[in-house]
Parts: sequence; structure tokens; C-alpha cells
Amino acid sequence: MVVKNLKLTLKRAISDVEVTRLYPEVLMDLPSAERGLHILDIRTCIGCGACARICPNNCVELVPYNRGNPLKNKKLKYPQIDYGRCMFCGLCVDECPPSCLTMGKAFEITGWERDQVIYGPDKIAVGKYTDQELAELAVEAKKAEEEKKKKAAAAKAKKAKEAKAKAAKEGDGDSGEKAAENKAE
Amino acid sequence: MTTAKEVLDALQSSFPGSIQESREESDRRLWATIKPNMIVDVCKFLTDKFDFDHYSGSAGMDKIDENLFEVTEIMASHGAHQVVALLKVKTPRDNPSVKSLTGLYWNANWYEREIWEMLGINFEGHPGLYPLLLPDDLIGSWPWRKDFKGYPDYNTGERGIEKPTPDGYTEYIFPPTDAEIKAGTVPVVRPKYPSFQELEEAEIKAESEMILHLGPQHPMILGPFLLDLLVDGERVKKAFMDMGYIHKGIEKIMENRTYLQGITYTDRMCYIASLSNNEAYCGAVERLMGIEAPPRAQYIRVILEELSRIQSHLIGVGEFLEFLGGATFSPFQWMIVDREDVLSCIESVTGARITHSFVRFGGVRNDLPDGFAEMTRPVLKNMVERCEEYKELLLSDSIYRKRMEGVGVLKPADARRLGVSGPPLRASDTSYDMRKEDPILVYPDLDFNVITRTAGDSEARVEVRLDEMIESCYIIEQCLDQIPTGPIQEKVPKKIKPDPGEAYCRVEDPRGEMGFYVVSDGTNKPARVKARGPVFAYFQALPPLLEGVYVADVVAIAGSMDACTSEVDR
Amino acid sequence: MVLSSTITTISEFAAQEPKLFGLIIGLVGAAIIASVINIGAMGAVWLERKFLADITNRYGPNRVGTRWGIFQLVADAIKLFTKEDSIPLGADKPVYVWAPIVASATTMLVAAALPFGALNIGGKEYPLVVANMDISAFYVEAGLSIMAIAAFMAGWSSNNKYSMLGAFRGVARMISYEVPMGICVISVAIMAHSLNLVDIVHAQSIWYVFAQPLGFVVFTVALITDLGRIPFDQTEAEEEIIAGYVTEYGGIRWGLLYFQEYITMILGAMLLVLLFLGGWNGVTLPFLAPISPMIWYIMKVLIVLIFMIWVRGSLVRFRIDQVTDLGWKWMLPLSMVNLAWAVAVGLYFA
Repeated sequence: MVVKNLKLTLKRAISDVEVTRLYPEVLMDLPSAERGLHILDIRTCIGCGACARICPNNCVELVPYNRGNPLKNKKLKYPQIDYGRCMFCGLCVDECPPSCLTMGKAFEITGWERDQVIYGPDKIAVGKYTDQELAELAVEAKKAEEEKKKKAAAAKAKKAKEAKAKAAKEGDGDSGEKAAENKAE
Repeated sequence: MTTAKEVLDALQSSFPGSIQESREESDRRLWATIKPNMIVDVCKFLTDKFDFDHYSGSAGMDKIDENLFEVTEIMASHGAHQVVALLKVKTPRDNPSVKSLTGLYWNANWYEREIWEMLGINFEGHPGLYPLLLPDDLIGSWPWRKDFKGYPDYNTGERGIEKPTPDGYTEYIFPPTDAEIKAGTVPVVRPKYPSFQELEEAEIKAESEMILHLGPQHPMILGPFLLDLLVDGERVKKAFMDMGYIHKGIEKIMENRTYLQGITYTDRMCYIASLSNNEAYCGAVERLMGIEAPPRAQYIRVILEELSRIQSHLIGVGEFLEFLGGATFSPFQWMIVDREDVLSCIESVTGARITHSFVRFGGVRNDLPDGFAEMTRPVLKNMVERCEEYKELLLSDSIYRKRMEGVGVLKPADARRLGVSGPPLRASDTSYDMRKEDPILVYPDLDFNVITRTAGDSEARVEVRLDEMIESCYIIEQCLDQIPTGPIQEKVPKKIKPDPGEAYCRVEDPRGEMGFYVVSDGTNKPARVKARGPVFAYFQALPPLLEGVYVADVVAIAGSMDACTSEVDR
Repeated sequence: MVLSSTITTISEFAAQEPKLFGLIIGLVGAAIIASVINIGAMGAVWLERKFLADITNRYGPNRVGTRWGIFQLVADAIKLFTKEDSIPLGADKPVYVWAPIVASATTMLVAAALPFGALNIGGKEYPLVVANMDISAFYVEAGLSIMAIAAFMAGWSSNNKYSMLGAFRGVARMISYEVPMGICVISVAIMAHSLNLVDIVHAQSIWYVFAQPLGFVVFTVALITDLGRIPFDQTEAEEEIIAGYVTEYGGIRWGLLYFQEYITMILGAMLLVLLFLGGWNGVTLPFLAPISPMIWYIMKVLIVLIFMIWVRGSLVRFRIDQVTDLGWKWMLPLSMVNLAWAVAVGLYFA
């Protein structure tokens, strides 16, 4: 009648072990393909905004970040993800051209207010530049900028000299006003 | 076997001049535009001569450029042949009106109610055009029309004036513009429908009868829907159902998102079996684009969809056992424990346990990880053992059999007429499985049976699900043996812009026949996406089944149908 | 030594002032019994949660109060005491308030007549019972059925359709199963030649589970039905009528009704042990001679409790019309057969 039910229940009671995971002492063993909180490799990010365009919920916003690479364009912006809206679909990861945005295994995120779950580049980035590296890169950037300025000044001077030579060649036949005008320009 | 060409030739010879356009997409798909006043005769002809007795659904579309509405009726057959005929009817936008098919097909009722409340198309001859998914105060604004202003207006961002209603909610009213006042076309007060309370209390005839609400909030039901029973003591005399408590407007949202973003929305239609929804949508868009996934991707899709079927059936049968025996009924808890193993297998590939968004156009997102076969085979073996154990347990439990035998019997003819599909239909002695009727991917290469039972009662439905789980395990084993190496994604352009056209793809969801109808107009967003879910037909079929049973049986019947309300309301 | 001298003092006092002695014994006994059965109910709930978890591969309470979760019920009781006391708007207020009190009163009445074991001091057995009545078997069995009145009061006064359905089901169930249960008790009394529970225990030289097997089966099924346990818990079936007759109760009122269910479970288990399983009879254990009957008694009651919890975790519930069917078409005739059997056997051995 119902004997089989009772027998099976007793067998399970005696032989089986508990399967409850004692969270938070014991955490789950997540696979490598797990779609958790994002990880941004800040050194490879080019600030293209493909992740922001593809997000179905408009969670990704590009914001300026003061610890970015000084060698690159100062206007470079990095993604900021609003986890209050994110549904962990992974489309941003698929679209990223340099493959610098990936999803990791972390999944615990809480906050008292809504702005506490908006994670900017400082929270989701890895491989951030240390202060020493930033200083070195800043020095390099300054050097590069001075080089650029020097080059620009040299090129400008060269151009001015060429123009003067040309004006002098033509100014022999022409009136002196034109030469004066050119010089003033 | 009848082919689409035969059907089209027969139609053209019998109804000359009524077929305005026609297209044969393949041996199994027929698209035709019929003149509005001939649609009922054409359907009757198809039913009588070619056995098109399965009315699958209907979709309404707003073609604002051509100033037309278009209603597409989807007709198929329960096993006589494999042709799906999609018949379109066009009607002008000013005074839209289409003939109703409720005279021929009983289950056309709710589909037409939905098209009416969303688009404003009047169906002549429909027994009762009441709102189904929308609340009363949205009737008249016709949300699916392309010029629906919305709250707030999608183009200008303007919000209407907030006005509190007597019930304590807030309504938004768009004030009439000066032009409207001058032209005299100020919007009128919307019509009022009799509320459910009035409808039900009109049915009370005796002192001992009362209305019992297994209503929107109840420990029994998965997902909110209204189920009111007119009971006399413990016997149910009549049942009333209403939907729309979880209507999210997914189909309208998908018109404003690109094709790739739309995949994430199809997940959320039925979140328990989201891979089948993904597959149906991607299958339809792949047909529009004219591409096909490489073989390895097809095998991966089949493996994951069968795993998803196993875990969905575990939830379905487990929840149903919970309804019978309380939350501490042990087989329910054991099924949840078994489900964890299956979910871990799925998670190792897709990265998520629910709402996977895994299938892409022309392939899949990730490849199988190393060691997937070694992880999955023991799980499958364990699953087969456990399913045999559950079957034996339920068969030998006489209290369970007393509760379930002969309860909620669906006779085969009724099941077909009511439009159900999936395990309830197969439990009523009809072999109708999308994997054999409309095979996609690698299903033609696999060897499996379609499980049927003859009894048609709740017990048969549960047995069909348990057997299907075992069958799925065999399918996955075959796939793991046969899977080739190779690429997992076909080359698709970065911006997906299919040529203008339309496609309809059907898959076997764990709950039944799931179909996606996608229309493209050449831009990067679809013009119309319609999801035809299986549970819509179950709920439509439930009130007639519930007459004359005990209150305790209502739970047994509704639970054995394995509903997922989110799919009904979309 | 100290023990025997205390007992002689008390017996002298009892001889001098019998009425006062009876009153004091009654009051002290009532206080002890009330606390013991309430703590026993807490223990029963804890046992149920732990055993059900064991069946279903879980842990059960394992955080509050060491690894075994023994203070979980205390935490739950504190939570219930601190909840808001709300009475539904259209409810019948006096009946609504008195229903849990009637339920508690029932259990106290029943517990007053039920022996809680025995102590074996100096070769003489002292049964631990507050009111040693001559008809205690019948009284206990009848008292257990007053719970249905409390359930009906609760269900009817709540002004709620689900509670009303639950109340109706409870009354239907009680009416169908009282008669078979009463007849089984009478069959046991016929064999033991007395309705006093203490005498029934003394008369069980062989346990009545072997002498009247049919009676044992019928009585067990009827007892599980009377207590409202799965597979017979239609009065509070969560999936059909939300919570049955306790739908509108919250806070400590619900706590009282919930606990009464478990107290009646313990008392019913004790009744079963006393009638059919030999009460506290058993081989005297060598080192624990004074409390040896107590240990046997508690062990048997625990086994019956675990059996009831085991049944709860394994079976689905019946439909209400199947319950009444079972009661009138199967239990009643079988109990009549058992009565005939008891009379025949009794006459044979007399």
C-alpha cells in the first residue's frame, strides 16, 4: 500500500548525507564560465563604449577616471556599471573589442542606498596603475608632450622660414605691402 | 505526406481570386494573404479537406506605413501532416474589423481577445470581447499600435498629468492639445466593463453557494492569476479565470531593442525553461537571415535544451507533489536536490542557473568546458535511476492514486479542440511532439521515442513527464557520443539587419509547443515579435475542466498542468 | 533513606488532612503537568523539524543554541509573543478569543488524567498521575475529541471562507473517527477488565498489540486522523485553503493553537503506548531501578512520535470525502470485528 513510501523515506534518512550548503562558511564551487561581477582590465581598455551601447538596460555609463593611463588621451573614459539594473546577461562581455571586460565569480553585492551599488572603474578594475607607475608614466607623458611641443615649434619655425624665403623670392617683383602683410600674418 | 505546394494549389483552385499573395517557404511552411471576407471559408476548407485541426494562435501587427492592420492566423495539424499555414488578413486602420474564428476553433477565443485589447481590431462574431491582459482603464489606448504615446511618451518624453483614482492608484492623462480641441477629436471617456465580482455574483443561485478565491495570491499557484471558484460546500460549480497580473509588455519592448538585445528578453518569458525560448527566437531570426549554425553548435544547443527540459520537469512534478502533500513531502525535496546537479551542469557551460541568454544567431555563446562529458554522464545515470524510483514510488502509493486517478480527465478529442499541447496532450493519446513534427537542429539524427499515455487524467500527465526525463537522458548520451569538433559560431555581421520578411519557428518547450513569429522591416530592430506560448492554451482550457470536482481536486488538476504564468502574460 | 523518611512524613500528613492534601497535590500536579507538557511540545516540534530534515537531506535547526539548534523553539516563542495582536474586522470577538483558550484547556484536562509514567521505589510502583480516575481511558479518548470544538470555534468566528471550510472539514473528520476509536478503547478495556489506565497497564502481561493486532491498526489510523496529521490534515491543508481554521490567527494566539496540536500529539502517543504497547512494563534495568519504568515509557513514546513524524514526511494527503469514506466504510466495521474478537478472547481466557 504505502509501505514502499515509508521504506524509501527511512532508507534516505539513514543513508543519505545532508546537501545543504552552510553558507556563508562554505561557499559554492563556481565554474569558470560563471557570470558574476565584472572585471575590467584597465590597461587594455580603449574606452570605445561598445559595452554601453549594447546593454539592454542602459546600465553602463562611461565616466572619467583619474587613475587612467596618462600616456593616452586625457579624455578617455571608462565604464561604470549600475548593478541595481544589471541583469548579468553578458552581452557587454561579448561585444568588447579588446576583450578587456570579463565576468568573474563574485556575486555578493549590497548597499544601503542605490548609489552604493553603482560600481565605478575603481571598483571593477584590475591591473590598476600603482602610484609609482603613475608617476613614472606622468613623467614620460610630460617628456613626450615637451617633445611634441618642441617638434611642433620646430615644424612651425621651418614652415615660417620657408614662407619667408618664398615671399622674399616673390616679393622682389611684387609690392612690399604684400610681403608686409604676409609677415604680419 | 501533404506538402505546402499541394495545399497552396488546392486553395488557389477552390478559392480563385481570394489569395492575394502567397509564398512557399519550404515543404512545411505556407504563407498566404487571404481576402478578409473569405477567411472563415478558407479555414473551414482547410479543416475539412486537409485536417488542419490545430489552431495554433494568431498575431496582430500594425503596419502604419501602409495604413493597415494585419492579423496572421497560424494553423497546423495534429499529426496528419507537417504543414504550417500562416494566413494573413489585412484590414484598414480607420475601422479595423476581422471575422472571428471562434465558430470553427474553440481556442481562438483568448487570442482574439488579446489582439482586440492591444490593437483595437474588432472581431465580428466573437462571443465576448472583454479585456484579458490589460486593466480596464487602458482599453481605448491600444498599446501595440505604433503611435501609442505611452507613459511617458517614447519619443518626446512627456508625461501625462497625474490623477489619483478612487481606488488609491495614480492614472496618467494626456491633456488634449489645442489642435485636438479645435478639431473636435478630444478623446472620450473609456468604456466600463462589468467587473469580475459582478460577473461572478450573477451566477450565484442558491444560499449555500459562495465564491472561493484561489486568486492572485495563494500558496498553491506559481505566478499570479485569478482563479475564482463558485462552490457549493466542497463541490465546484463553475470556475473563472483572469490573467494579466504579471504582464510586462515584452513584445512591445522587443520592438524597441535590437535583435541581439532581444535575446535577453526572451529569457524572461518563461524563466524556468529559458533555453527553449532563446532557441525559438534565434531560430526565427536565423531563418530571416538565411544562415544556419555549425554542427557543433547545434549539438551543444540540443544538449543544453534537453538538460533544461529535465530540470523543468523536476520542478513541474515536484511542485505538483508539493500541492498534494505539503512542503515537507519528501519526494518533492529529493527532486529539488537532484535538480541541483543538473543545474550545475548547465551552469558550467552557460554561466548562469536561470535566464541563460545563451543561444546566439548562428551559434552559441560559449563552448563546452573541458571535462563536461565526464561531469554529465554520472549525473544522467543517477537521474535515470532516480526517475525509475519516483515512478515506482508514485505507482505503488495508493493514497496518491486515489487522489489522481480519474481526476481531470481530458479526452483526446477535447484535448485537441481545446488547443493544449505538450505533456497534457500526449497523456491523452495523441503523439504530437515538435521534435518530430517540426524538427530543427540535429533532432532528425537522434533516436528517441515520443511518450504517450491513454488515460488522460492527472496521473497520466505526471507519468508522461517522468518518462520524458528518462528519454531526455538518452538523447543527451547520444549527443555526447556524436558531437563533432569545430566552430561554435557562424560568421554574422556586427550589426544584424535582416532583409524585410517574416519567419515562424516552433520548438518543443518542456510545457508544450512554443512558437516565435518575427517580422523584419530591414532595420536593426524587429517590427513585430510574437511569442506563442503553450501555457496560454492550458489556462484557456482550465475552466471547463474544473466543473463538478472537489476543491482539493482543483489543486491536483491545475498543478498537473504545470503552468508558468509569466509565459501567459509575457 | 532520606527518600523513605520523606515519604512517611507525607503519608502521615495525607492521613491527617486528606482534603487539604488532595488540593495541594492537585495544584502542584497541575503546575508541573502544565509546564512539562508545554516543554514537551517544544521538544516535539524540535524533534519533528530535525527528523523531517533528516528524511529530506537537510539539517533542520542548527544555528540557534549550539549545533543541534535546541533553542530554536525558544526564539520562535519570543518572536510570537512580540507580534501585533490583530483581530479581523467582522470576526465574532468572544468566540475568536476563546478558541485558543478552549484548546489549551482541553489539553490540560486530558493531561490531568493521563499517567506520565511510573517510579519503582522500593519494589512498589507509583504511577505518576494527577487524577487517578476509574474511567480514565474513556475520559482521555473523549477529551481528545474536544479539540474539534476548538477548531470549529476558531474557524467559524474568523469571518473567512477558508477558515469556514477548514472548520467544516474538521468536524466531519472528528465525527467519522470518534466511533472507531471509542470502540477500540472499549475492546482493550474488555480484555483488561477495567477502564482505569493504570490497571490496563498492569493487566498487560502480553502487550495488546499482539493480542489485538487489528485493534492496534485501527486505533493507530484513527489516532493519526484525530490529531490532524498528514495524511489526514485537511483542516489546515496549506495548498487548498491557505491555512484552514488558523488562517486569521497570528502571534501568540496562533502559537497556542499550534502548540496544542503538538501537545495532543504527545498525549495521543502516550495513550497508544498505554493501551497497546504495555505502558511502562519492561525488564527492570540493573542500575537505574527506580526510574526504569520511566525510561521504558519515554522510549516507547519517542518511538511512536518518530513513527508519526515519519508518516508525515512520506505520504500525500487524502481528499476530505475519501477521509469520511475510510472512516465509515472501513474503520467502523473493522473496529466492530475487533470488538467481537476481544469479547471472544476475553471469554476464552476468563
